[in-house]
Amino acid sequence: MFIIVYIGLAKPLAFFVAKPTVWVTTFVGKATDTVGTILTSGEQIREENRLLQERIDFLEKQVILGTEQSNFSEDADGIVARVLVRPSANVYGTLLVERVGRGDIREGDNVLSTEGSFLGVVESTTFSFAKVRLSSHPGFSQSLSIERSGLPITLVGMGGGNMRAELPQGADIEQYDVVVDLETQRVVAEIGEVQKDETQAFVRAYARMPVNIFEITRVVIVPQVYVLE
Amino acid sequence: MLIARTLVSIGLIFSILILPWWISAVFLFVSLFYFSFYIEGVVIALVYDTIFSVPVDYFWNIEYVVTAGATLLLGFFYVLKKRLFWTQEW
Repeated sequence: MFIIVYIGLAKPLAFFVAKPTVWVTTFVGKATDTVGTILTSGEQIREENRLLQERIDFLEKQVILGTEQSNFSEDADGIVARVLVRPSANVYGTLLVERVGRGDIREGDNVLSTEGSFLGVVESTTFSFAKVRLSSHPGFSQSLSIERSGLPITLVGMGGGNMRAELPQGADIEQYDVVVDLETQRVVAEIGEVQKDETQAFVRAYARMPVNIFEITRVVIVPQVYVLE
Repeated sequence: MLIARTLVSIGLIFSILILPWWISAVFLFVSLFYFSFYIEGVVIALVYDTIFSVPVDYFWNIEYVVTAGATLLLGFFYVLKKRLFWTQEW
């Protein structure tokens, strides 16, 4: 009797249990696949977007800097910024620049010309704007070296792209000597005039920045430790 | 006079962004002298300092040199004009 009842009910019971089970399993499987596909394709799209954005940034940088006059290689991590206000427009002799493309500008970052020479440091940032204190800012002092002789020299800013230094009498310094930062190998200034007076204990040298800061339109902002290749 | 003050203030704001600093300085100086208690000039100087200023060694490392200068000039012209003209308008 039991067997007869079991056999009679087994098929509908199995069908009753199995069908929803299969249906649920299939649905869950499909849903999992769909979610997985969405997540995977989302990741792929994000990665593609990132690569495309990098490419756009690089091309923008190339267009702005001009590949033929730039010392920056393809993988240079410099941030290009356009100059909004030049030093002539303000009594402080600061540059106001606006970041082009992406990247973070931090206080203390170095600001270089498109040719790679040192211009100054970022004083403060607001959104995509940065205020740059030029190396010729009055009172801005830097310990550097003469490229030709390796003579240490301390340049003090005078404003307007000019700097001055005092060296002991007999120091090996001449007009057109290039002043560099030995640590980073960046050109900082060029000696414009040397005043030697035998009666004085010191030689006075006047230097100027290697670029015309009153005509500058683009700069490159690099982290403080960046060294040109 | 109010319209003139407003126009000059707008002109000053544009001049600090575009023109060489010494033209803006002359413009501000004349405005501070010409208008009665031209406090807008100090506000514009404050804006100017906020945008451009960095501590200057020659001025004891204070950042707001132009604002300080404009404030001093405002006070100076106020006293000077009172002594020169003795009129209510000034």
